[in-house]
Amino acid sequence: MIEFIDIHKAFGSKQVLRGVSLEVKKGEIMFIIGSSGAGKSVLVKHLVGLVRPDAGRVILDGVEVTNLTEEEYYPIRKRCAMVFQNSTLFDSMTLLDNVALPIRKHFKLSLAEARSEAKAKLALVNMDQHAERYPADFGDGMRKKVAIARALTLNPDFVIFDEPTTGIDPISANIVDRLIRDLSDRLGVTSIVVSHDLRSIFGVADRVAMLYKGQFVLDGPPSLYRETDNAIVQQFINGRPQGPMEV
Amino acid sequence: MIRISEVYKYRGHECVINGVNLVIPQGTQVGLIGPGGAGKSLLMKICAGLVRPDSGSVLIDGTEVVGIGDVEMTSVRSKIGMLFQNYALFDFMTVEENIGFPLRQLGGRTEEEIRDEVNRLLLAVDLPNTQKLFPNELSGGMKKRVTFARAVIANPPILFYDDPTAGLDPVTSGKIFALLEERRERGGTTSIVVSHDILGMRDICDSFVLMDHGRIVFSGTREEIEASTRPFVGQFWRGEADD
Amino acid sequence: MTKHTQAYVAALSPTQRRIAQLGVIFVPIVTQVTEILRVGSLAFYYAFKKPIRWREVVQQSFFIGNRSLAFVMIVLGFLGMILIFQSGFQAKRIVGDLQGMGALYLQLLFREFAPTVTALMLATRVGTGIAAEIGSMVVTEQVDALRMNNAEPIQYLVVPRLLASIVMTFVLSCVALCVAFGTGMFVANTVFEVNVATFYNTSLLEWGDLIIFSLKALAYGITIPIIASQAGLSAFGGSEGVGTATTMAVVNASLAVTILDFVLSGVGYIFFFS
Repeated sequence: MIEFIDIHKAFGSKQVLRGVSLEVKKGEIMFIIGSSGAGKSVLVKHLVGLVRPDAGRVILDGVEVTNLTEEEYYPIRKRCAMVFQNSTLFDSMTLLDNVALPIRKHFKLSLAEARSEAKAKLALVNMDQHAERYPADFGDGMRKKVAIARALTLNPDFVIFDEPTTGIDPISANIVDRLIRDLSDRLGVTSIVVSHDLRSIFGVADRVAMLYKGQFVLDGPPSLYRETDNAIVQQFINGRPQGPMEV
Repeated sequence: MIRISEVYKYRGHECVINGVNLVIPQGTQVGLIGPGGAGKSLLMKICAGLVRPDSGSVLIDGTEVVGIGDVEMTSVRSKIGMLFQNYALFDFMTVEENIGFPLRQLGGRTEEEIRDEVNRLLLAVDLPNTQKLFPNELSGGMKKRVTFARAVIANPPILFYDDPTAGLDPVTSGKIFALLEERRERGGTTSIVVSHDILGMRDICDSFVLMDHGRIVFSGTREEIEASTRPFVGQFWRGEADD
Repeated sequence: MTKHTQAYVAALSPTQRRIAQLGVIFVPIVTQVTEILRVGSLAFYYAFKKPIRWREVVQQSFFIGNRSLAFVMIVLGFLGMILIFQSGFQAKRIVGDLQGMGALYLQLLFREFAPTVTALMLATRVGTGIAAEIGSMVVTEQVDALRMNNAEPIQYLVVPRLLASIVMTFVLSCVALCVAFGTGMFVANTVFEVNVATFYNTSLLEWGDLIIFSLKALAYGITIPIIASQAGLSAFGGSEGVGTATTMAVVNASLAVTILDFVLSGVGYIFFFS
């Protein structure tokens, strides 16, 4: 279980997080939504020590991980995979070698061993039959799947997805959404997804929390977002240009 | 009017634009949609004369733009406004200088007139008092609005929007689409919108063109697309995956 | 190599394949040189055409000077000391007399070290700067935006950098010459006890030395920004593209400076010193 307790964070004079608390249960798919610059990525980066809070605590499976040294964060970062928005594959390598690369680096395995391990990871995302092909042969969705397979190489307990469907076409986005759901169901990984793709929220999320002006305005299952009469949430969910929200 | 005939473009041995024919009548707004890598942005850049196709012809208001030099292109380009996917704001210029740039390039206006026009547009895109800021001081949504202002300031009869809402949250996207819609309602502009945001585009385009692997696979109005029985068309429109 | 070329190569006879392999080396070089010449000739064409953005020229000159002045002074200062120190020892062993060292050293600085070493420094400092700046403008579509507004990128971006570089390479070479001569004189005086007045000896200098000095500074001043701009303009992809472009700029510019040095030294020898 991941707990964020009353996190405050400012960059210079800009107060980004003003007392944010959140619990993510094991195996859950948690979506953090909000407008650009609302501090969604900043919040999740606290977990792995890429950002340190000004005040507040982060607790991981009952152990406080708020202000550790860089070395103390290493085991945590190993347990946590991050899929960055721009996780790109090397065009000159096959899909298999793309995934085998971090395996070889981390476990000091022979090429053959790393490849068979990589094949297993590709199988997790249903891409093992394309292992010998090149990234250029596939669309955005498929490439993203391979990038996710690569992120899974260290057998993480939780995965952070930073805007996994931004800038890709709807079908590809759907492929990625399904994969996130599938990984959670099959491997039991805990996923935190930073996103503002509304389509994904209703299809994939177990729980959704919306950040606005440094605080959560709503936290609950996706259905709550359709029912709520909170004007700010309503405006966001419907993508209306006019309303109380300041962006 | 934009008339694209038999355009082919190769990258290495791969055919990235594969025999595209398309006519965009005067005063219409066309939504160009399709999976990533389908060639949408590339086709738009070919129309703008930024990329030269290997064969084919593109007529903009009757002027052929394929194969002409940058000097002859001058008169065509002054008719076109373009909103770039990566903002493409000049990072060494302030917001004010960026937006005023097309007018300064066209010439024939005093600094005073340019400043007034820039200020008027900044109000219209809801970015007052940002004149002296530099692009790196703005958020993504603000940059998109500045880019929009720069694209439209010279009132070009042709507008190309390359993924105007990429990476923006729904509310900011809504604001950008509202600006596009406002432009369209004024009438007279012929425009192409490339976007992945089908929900946002549905209501602001007169017709849609669906591309895949460098070809046009469907073109028609919203009603025609929704009535189409072809699986790929419906799937793409509703964003369903099958794997 | 794409699949098609692979199949094509496989079908060749061994001799043909050996000839084809030469192409792997020469085709990229020829394309690159053609591209550089194209950018260069366009830059010259626009350099004599209005409008020239003089404000930008001044600003770029300031950037180039400001970025490289300390760098050039430190490198040339130490180089001057090392040169005199090493050659002093050798000369003492062979000739035993160090009275003519200053005159020879001054001639060497004019003909060779001041402009060439300065240019090599500028190739790394200024060349990378220009390539990175223009390269990132390409990958963020700023260059496309310029073209859409009928601002020719070469006229708008390359010409101001070219003019600034011509002026500043000359100025910095002069500074480098003075600094290197000064530090050399210091070592000669303290280590080898050569009188300052003896060391400062211009008797060997000819007009030819001055002409070669200016010619080299001019040639480098033109070559570096053009090669760097071409590298920047050819950037593609994301930030990796900018990285590749900057590396390409340093490698090409340093190579060009060295080759030009060779050619111009030959020219100097034929016309002035034989």
